Amino acid sequence: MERSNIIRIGGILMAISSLLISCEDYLDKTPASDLTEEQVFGNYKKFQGFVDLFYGDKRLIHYNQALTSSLDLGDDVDCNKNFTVTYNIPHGNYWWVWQNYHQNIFNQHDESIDPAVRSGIWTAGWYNIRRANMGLHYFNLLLEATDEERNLIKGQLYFFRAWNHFEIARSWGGLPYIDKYLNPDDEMHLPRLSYHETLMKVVQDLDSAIACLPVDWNETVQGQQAFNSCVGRVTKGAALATKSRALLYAASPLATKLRTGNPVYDNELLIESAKTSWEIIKLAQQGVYELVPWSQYRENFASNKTGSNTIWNKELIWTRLKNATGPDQINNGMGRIHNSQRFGGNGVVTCPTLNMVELYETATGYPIDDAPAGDYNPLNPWVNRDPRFLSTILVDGVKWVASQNNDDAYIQLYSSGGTSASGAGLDMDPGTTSGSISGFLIRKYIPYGVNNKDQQWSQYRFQVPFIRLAEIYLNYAEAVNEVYGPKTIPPFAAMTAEEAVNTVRRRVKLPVGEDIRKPVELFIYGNASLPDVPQKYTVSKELFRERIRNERSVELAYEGHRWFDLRRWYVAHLPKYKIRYKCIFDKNHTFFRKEVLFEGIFEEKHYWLPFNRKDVNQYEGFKQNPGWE
Amino acid sequence: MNKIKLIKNVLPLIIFLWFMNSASIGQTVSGKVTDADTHEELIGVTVMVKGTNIGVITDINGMYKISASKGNTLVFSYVGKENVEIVVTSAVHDVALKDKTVSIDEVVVVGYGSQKKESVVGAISNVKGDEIARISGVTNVSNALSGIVPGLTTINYSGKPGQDEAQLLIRAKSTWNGMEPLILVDGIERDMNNLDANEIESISILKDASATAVFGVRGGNGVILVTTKRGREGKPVVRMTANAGVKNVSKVPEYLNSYEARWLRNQAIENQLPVDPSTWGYITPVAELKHYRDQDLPYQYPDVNWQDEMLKKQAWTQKINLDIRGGTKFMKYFSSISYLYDGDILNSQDFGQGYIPKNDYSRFNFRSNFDFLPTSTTTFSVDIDGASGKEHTMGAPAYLIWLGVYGKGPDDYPIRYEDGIFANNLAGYYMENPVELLNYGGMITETRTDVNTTFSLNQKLDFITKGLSFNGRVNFQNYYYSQGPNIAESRMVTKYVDWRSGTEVWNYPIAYLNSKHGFNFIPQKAIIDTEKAKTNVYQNLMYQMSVDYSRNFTGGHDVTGLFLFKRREYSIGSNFPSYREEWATRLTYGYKNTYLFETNGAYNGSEKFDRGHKFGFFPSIAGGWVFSNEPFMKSMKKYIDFIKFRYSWGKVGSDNNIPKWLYVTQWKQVTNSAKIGYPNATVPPYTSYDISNIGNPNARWETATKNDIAFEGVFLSNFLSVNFDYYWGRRDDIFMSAEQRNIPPWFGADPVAANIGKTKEKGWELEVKIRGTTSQKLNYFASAAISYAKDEVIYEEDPYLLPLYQKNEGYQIGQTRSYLNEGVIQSWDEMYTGVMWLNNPQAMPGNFRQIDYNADGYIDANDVVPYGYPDHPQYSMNYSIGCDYKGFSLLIQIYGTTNSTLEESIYEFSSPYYASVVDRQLYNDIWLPGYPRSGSYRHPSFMYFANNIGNYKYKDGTMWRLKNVELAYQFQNKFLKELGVNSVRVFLNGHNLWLYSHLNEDRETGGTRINDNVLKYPMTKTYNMGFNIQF
Repeated sequence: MERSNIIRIGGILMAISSLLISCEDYLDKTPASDLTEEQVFGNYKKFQGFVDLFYGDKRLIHYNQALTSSLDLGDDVDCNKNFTVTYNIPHGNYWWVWQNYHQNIFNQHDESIDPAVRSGIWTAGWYNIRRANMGLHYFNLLLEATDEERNLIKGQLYFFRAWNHFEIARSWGGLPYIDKYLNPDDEMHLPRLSYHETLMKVVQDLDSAIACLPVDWNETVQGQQAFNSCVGRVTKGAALATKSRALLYAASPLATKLRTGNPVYDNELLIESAKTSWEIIKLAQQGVYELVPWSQYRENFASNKTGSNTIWNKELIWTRLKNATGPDQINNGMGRIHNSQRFGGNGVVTCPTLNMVELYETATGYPIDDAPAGDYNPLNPWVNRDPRFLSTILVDGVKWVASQNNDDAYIQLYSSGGTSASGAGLDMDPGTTSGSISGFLIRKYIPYGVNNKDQQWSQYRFQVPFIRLAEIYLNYAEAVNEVYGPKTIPPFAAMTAEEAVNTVRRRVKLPVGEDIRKPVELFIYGNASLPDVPQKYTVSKELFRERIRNERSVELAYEGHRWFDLRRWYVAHLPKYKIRYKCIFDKNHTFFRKEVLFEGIFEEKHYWLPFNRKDVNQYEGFKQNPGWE
Repeated sequence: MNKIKLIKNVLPLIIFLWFMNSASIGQTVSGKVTDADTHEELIGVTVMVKGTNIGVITDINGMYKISASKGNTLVFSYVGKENVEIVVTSAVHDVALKDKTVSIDEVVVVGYGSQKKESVVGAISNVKGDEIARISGVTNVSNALSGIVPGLTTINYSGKPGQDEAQLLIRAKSTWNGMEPLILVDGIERDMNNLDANEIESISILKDASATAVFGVRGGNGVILVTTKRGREGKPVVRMTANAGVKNVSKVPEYLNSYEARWLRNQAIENQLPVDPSTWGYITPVAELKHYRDQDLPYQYPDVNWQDEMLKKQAWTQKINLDIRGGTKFMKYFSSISYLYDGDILNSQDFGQGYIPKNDYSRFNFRSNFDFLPTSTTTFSVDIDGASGKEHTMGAPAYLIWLGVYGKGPDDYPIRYEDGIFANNLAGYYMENPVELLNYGGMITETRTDVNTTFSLNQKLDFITKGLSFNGRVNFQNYYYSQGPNIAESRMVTKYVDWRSGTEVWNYPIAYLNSKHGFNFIPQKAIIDTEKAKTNVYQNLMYQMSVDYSRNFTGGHDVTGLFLFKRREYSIGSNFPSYREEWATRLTYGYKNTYLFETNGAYNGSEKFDRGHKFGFFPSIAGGWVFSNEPFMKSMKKYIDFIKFRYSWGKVGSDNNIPKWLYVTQWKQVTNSAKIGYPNATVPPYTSYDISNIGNPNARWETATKNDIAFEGVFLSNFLSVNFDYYWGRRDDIFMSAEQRNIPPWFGADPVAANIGKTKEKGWELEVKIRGTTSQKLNYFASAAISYAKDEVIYEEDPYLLPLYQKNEGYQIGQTRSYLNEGVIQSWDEMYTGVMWLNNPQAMPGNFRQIDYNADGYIDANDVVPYGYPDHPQYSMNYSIGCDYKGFSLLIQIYGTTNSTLEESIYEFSSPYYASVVDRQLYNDIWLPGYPRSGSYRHPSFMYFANNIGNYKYKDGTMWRLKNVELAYQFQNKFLKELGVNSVRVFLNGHNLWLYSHLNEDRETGGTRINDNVLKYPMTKTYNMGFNIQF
């Protein structure tokens, strides 16, 4: 008994001590972390894999999915719900950017969902800048690559460093330009550069990118492996276009005001911008880019055609490709904020204001308040307008459901005369709990038949382009007009400002036998273009400036330009842009009344977004934007 | 196990022993020995004739017979009882033994051992298992500890069966990284809430560094040691305890009915008309208001009290336990089985859906602790225990269900329409019908099984040197978690009728859309998943070895020593396992039980950190002076039983909530959501890598330095006892995660987590107890314990330029911060003459006026200032009184906390639903011009930018709770004896019967109700009835 016990005890003891001896470094165990920087950056494919993450970055996704994260924040929109960016920015509540992390294009970093999800211009922007710097820091590890491949990588890294700095700077103003890979121990209490200095750094990086990037990836060894397989990656054209835009921003009155106190254009920078734009226009003339024909115009933004799962054409200079199609794109994408609930909206509707509607000229090419008699009928205001109007904005009475023929098949945006309790149409708020509050809806991104009744959405896809060729013509026109006037060809180019604007207009074709109850997809367009800008507006650069700005607003509507442009031109504080209007009319269109939708707040401080208080309180050199202290 | 066999073997032996002892010679004195408190017969009491070797032990009836002559002194001694000496005057002497309060040999469980209570120099509170078992209204140990241990703060936040354990906080909160104490059950790290209270012998709460230093990097937040019952030499004692209880909701907010809410909504719309006319369309016409009031058209103008529909009037709990305890010289055993059921308070009903969704919990526990003593110097123990809990949870999304309890408009729709169809408005925000959803939403079943096996060996090594022993222990723990079989939702066809427009909107569940039956849709019967949705196995292997030394040298020198080694391997499923390794030592020295000295040390490690930071040494020293044992105190013995002063200092660590392997910079493959190529864009062909963690090689644990100075005293022959502890300390290297750090945003990645925080703490605990017996043999006791704990942040990387009052530094962790209200703006004049918010064109009379704290002319984020206290209490107080008289006993425990500030969750047409939900409490305090009862809350608003309500929502967190009340009667008579029953005790008790709180609901944590199933489950009060039989 005792002996056997002793043997047992001895056995246990020995077993335990053998365990002791066998694991010397008992605690020194980490999951195999065998990946080294050399392996991540060693050859072209891995490095390009690292670079490709820029194209999948969440900020870009939200940008062109535009759930409620739209960049349309100027006088062009209002939102029927107060928890969206399209409500709060137009209403002057800029702090919202730091108080809400949900569906916030500026700052979306929702810890509660997934700490790794970084999106929003601010958060994802700095993250991408870090990654660009990381790539450049480890660039010398790229040994297995040809010179061409090394240039491709380098060009993209410089491009994204510039692009992300620019995206942050145009909302918040001057910042430190981070051009080194920061270690946790590095000095990060950096002073803010001026807005101008920041943009010049952006331009400098873009110049590096331009030098490295190919005009067409199909002509590189990489791109030749399969034709068009590299479409979507940035090109020389994308870098030039971003540079054209950055220089235009730098030359604009807001930027000059910061430097000199005087909100005027800076000619020197305008010339630089125009030169860059001209480089792209030259590429267009060589056939690299083109303004797609009017029949394909809408496919810049949305399509439900078969044959491709993405949106791409020669007009698009830089965009983030998507390959998602189908009902989700309407149910969880654009459809949620651009539709009333009847057609799949989720109750949060981004509505076009009457301000925006009034910008569309008559079909004869005149502003509606200056049109020759008969060209514009205030009692039938939506006919005989620039065809881009009905293409962009959904108005009352349009047949929207192909498969139905009753009243419900038509868009109902009237405020009275209907059968609902309030008399308002079923696409109006409060006619239903979620509809338009202005009398209009945005239709730019929704083709006919793509709604939850017709369900012709198996191939439905949409996209908000970053930069397309039309913008470049307008960048060029704006810059050249300020320096040389509407009708002078600048010495470095072969096109006048007037010609550039008209190039964009001539692509637009006029319908034959217009019937606004039909959706635009069913319109028949003739060969007649939208007329050139009438000569009475090209006599001075001041008059023509207004037309260029108008053209820009309607051509690039709801592509995220208007808020930036109004600020850049230093006009956003003017009452004209502060007061937002809606249109009130009855079911039978017996009257149309312009009413104030809301009076937006735009003070001097609203030219820049505030920084997070938490950040500016860290050290003296990081100054809050004026007015937000 | 073959317990019956065991009993068979053991019983004769005991009887034999007893027989041997009672066969004595001489004149016989006999009598019965009972427990003075419980009046139970005491078995195995040693009765000795003083000054001789003659002795017996009492039999199973507590009887003794001993031969002694008149004038002899009999000494009665029993473990845990005061010795009693009586002089023999007659042939019969009945004796009652009292519990020892402070006794020389009362033993306290300390880290990796036990010590005589008298010589303990660390701050340790000890709770006996009986005290825990007595609180039978609660289902878990952490709740039972609430309000009976000074220095232990418990925070209850949920009443969900199976998840209603309390958060425990030992002394002051000194880190923001989780203050969960280390909990060891018989030396094994595990959840004590899985134990049945009847299994517990004692619980030690180790509070200061001296007591916890042996746990090193794990001891920083205090340690709770749970010791389970073991066998005792003697006849088997079988106990059965059963109780059943009724519980109901303690306190939930009350809301307005639909008439009142609609009326108030009209008031709101009228008031905001000058600044926001757009809501005028939501006015309820007087004619409709009338219908809401009269309820003559309940389907059109409903008034549903959703709380009444969603909550049951009462739910059931029950508990039953059977255990047996006994042993011989060679083997001792304790076995126990228990079953517990805790019912659901949500009102699920049988609508013919084939199942009733529940949120209940049942648990089965078993335990067998065996000690084998194969030789006189060897003890080999095998402990096997397990708990298997089954928790049901409703399948419907919790936030929609709890909306039914905490914020569903009474006017949304009726529960069902006249035709029996459930109402449901899917078009609105969160407008699902909670009654339909609860009952047709399916059910989730979770099973958690915890099985522990421990082998331990204790070998005395006196042959090497006297007092030396070896201890080895191996533990295998297996924890199985599985989910399923679940019941899939089986939703009904529902509809919504808009009475104004007459439109009916039908909502069809997916089952309907897939059904061939069309309008004859038969609601789908529940589908029970056969597959387990999820399973997980947690495995734990622990082995430890220690060498103990304990010897009393002549001349009054007591020396003990301990050297221990321990390793633990822990894995979840197939995840990378976790490892721990610990070395611990202790050395104590006592001189004549008067001067005490102790030093502890742990050298232990954490795999979480880099080489060089993996291991650390955690020392402590402590000293005690038993003043009452000084020779010159002898004369005071009459008044002073015991006085001890003690002081301790030590360092302990905490790596709680610090992630593993922060020191490594890790690259990982990431999924790219980029799309490249035309006409069909696809994910780029190359693999993408990115840094998933930027390494911080300096990551390490937090270090707490703690001091404790204390006084313990017992006076007036155990009538009064007083304990007072004062402690202070600091914590360095507090871990700050990426989110907590403040570095410029252009770093571009999550900041690197670092150990840079610092806090300090101080506090005290006072415990006063009296106990006594009146001449009528009424035993009574009363005790009061008050704890105070306060922490202060010294460094938390606050932004440098932040105003001082907004920094965390200098304030307590969790300090409440708010805008301060000055009152309600009474008129337009008043509004425009006061300080305003920037850009607030929507301001109007009736809003709160806030204080411009920094006097910069407007209200903005800089005017948020510290307000009140932190969210955890500074004071917690326990009061209990009790008495027993002739078999009756009464116990009352009251628990209170104060000096905390809690955020109240209040509803007032709240965004984004704008449902007609208004707290009645708020309504009674609303400012309405023109009404006589204008209160202090601002004018309500509807669908409109709501003015900041400032500090209105922060309430004084003072709470008083009637935690436990018990009335019991113990039967003890011959008749029962003949039935073989030793004693029967019946009891009636209640838990959480009465609450005083400033919040509109029973919760000890503040904050808005987040969408959390567990947090929203209301707390309950319980009434119990039960009995305890001992054979």
